[in-house]
Amino acid sequence: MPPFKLDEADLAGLVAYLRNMNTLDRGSLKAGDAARGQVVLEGKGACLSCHRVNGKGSRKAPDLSDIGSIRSAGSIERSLVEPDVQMMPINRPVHIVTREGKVIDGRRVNEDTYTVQIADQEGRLLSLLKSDLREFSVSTKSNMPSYKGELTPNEMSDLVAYLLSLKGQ
Amino acid sequence: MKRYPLFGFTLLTLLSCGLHAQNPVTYDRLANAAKEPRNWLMYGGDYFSDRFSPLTQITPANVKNLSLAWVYQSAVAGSWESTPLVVDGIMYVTQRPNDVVALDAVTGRVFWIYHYNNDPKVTVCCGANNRGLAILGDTLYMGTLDAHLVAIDTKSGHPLWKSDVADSKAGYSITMAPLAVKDEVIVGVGGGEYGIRGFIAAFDAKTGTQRWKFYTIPAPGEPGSETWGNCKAATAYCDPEAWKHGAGSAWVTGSFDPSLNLIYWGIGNVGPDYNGDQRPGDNLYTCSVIALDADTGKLKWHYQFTPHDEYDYDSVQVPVLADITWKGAPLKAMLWANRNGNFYVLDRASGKFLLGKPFVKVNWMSGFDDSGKPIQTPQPPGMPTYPAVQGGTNWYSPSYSPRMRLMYVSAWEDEGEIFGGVPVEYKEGLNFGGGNLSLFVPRADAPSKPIPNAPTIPNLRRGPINNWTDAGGHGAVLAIDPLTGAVKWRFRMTDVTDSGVVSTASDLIFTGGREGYLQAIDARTGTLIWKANLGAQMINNPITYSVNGRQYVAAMAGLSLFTFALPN
Repeated sequence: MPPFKLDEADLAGLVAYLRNMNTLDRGSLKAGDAARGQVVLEGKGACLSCHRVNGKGSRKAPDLSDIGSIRSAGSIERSLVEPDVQMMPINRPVHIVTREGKVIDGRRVNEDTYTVQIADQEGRLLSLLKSDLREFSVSTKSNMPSYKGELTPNEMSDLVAYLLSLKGQ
Repeated sequence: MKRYPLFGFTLLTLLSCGLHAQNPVTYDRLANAAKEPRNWLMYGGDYFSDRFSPLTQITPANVKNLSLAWVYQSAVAGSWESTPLVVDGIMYVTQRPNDVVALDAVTGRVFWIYHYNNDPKVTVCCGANNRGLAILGDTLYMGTLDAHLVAIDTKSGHPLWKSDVADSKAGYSITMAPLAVKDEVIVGVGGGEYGIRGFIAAFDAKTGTQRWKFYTIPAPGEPGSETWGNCKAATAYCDPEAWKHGAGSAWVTGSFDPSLNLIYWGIGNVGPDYNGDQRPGDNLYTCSVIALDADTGKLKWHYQFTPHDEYDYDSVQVPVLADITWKGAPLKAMLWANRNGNFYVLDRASGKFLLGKPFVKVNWMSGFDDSGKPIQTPQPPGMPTYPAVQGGTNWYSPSYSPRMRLMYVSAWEDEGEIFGGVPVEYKEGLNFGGGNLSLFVPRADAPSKPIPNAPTIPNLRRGPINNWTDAGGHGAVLAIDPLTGAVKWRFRMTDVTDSGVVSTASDLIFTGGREGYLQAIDARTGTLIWKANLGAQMINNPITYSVNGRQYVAAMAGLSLFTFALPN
């Protein structure tokens, strides 16, 4: 990263923005309670059947242990309500059939022109040569269900508050 | 300045380079560089900058046998954008920020390293980059980040002279490889994001004395000054003398036609980059190509690719010169795949516009008027403009094969950007961009809407994970027919590319990309024939050369310079 030559006012503004950028996209929810949100995540929401948080849960979907440091409240809320819209392109589900006929479904974690790296349904990391694949398709439909109408507004607020509190180790 | 003489110089010279006469690189040799296919004598290969090598040892049939010859590790972090020179078995290459390294081109062993100490307060927008050297006689020439031109002895690495080119405190820098023409060395300046007044200048190769200087932003009363209008008084930071900070940098090397005695140079963006309200008019000579008399620096003609640019569509691409047949008649042509997404053919004797056609998705303009001026179609606020700020292509070099009569261009396809200008006050040495930009990653279900918060292709360098994916744009090499502008074939990459192209008389092209693969592609069909994973992104132009009858291909990836050859 190159050094930037900023005057004091610009520097102060930039630092203020970086410190608060995750709160700028607040979404539509009121402030929730993180402790109650953890209960929702582990209970009614059944989030750990696909996601993992601090070593607990499944590896089918992205690990959420640092989600609060990389996503805003609005972004998390949209993921819960409209998963297809907010799903990051890298996380799109892939469907693969190898030359030998083996079917692999999973989540993309990296890709280049010649290879693709995925986490399969069992959470195993696989790296495949595209030239060895009979089929390789990337879906724009998220495997995650929408929680719109499934959680109460309070539960949604609490869940977002909990996810925002996850800053990684 | 320090010099690091390395033990074993004499022995290595005898081992690997002793068979070569190491004669001075005269102007005559430079003007006939194509007759020395074993060497790579200047940034673009020769004065036409076509990056076409007559070497034929490596062919589509045997390229699969390429193997690693040697690796040189620079141990300097950051993107390595340099193009090496190779002269009679010795390679000269710059490494960040302004080191020069002389290597045995057969073994990679180092003869000497020259280290230049930049002013620590230097201001550069986009990294401490350097793209290479010029050579004339027994002297190498390098521009520096703190805007000096340095002459260095080829045999010892000793500095010979150092000339002031511009004031680095005001944002001027030099990152391009100079161009040696006759007995002068020509450089341009970077700093287009800092409100400089750009120029190109020629220096006496022996003494470093400035011969001439051409400002890319005309002063009042000079031709072109009428394209700098007066801003409305109500405009924030309206400056009646906006031209003084109009940018027009020149940060990539130009080309030269000895038969016309004209040098050609691509000129960068206008300042402020994105807020056109502060500088009404076409803003010559930004985003243009200029043709200058090589002896005097007088302007012969110009063509402006993007008048009144508000997208940072620098036209710094190296001008590719080609002698072609155009509508049945011989033509001294200039071929140009521009950052603004259009491919152009110009008459390089007169500057006449002959052809313009998009080679990637373009919506900032809809066509050309009879004079060749683009008909601009600014997009509504919040809607994406194509190409994005990184452009359809950028500073990395294309190649033209006179055998295939095709231009090979590294392109960024399907990448859009939401542009917005904001008022910005000029302050010396501070950023003068005036923009609020966001890349546009379209939703799958509603392509006119962006995916909120999606990671987008960064301007700066990246790690090994492509987490923005090709949903936000991807790279390609395109083979463009200059007679029609049509894309004859497309080699698609998943990630984007900042690697140039070299083509050979055996109908191969070599190129890289951010994925880190050095790739050999059939120049006739666009079919991949061979690749090697170099483990880090390639941000430079590959070259090919030969020593003792063995052909090599060299390219940098990450911190390392890799050289491949067929087995002995």
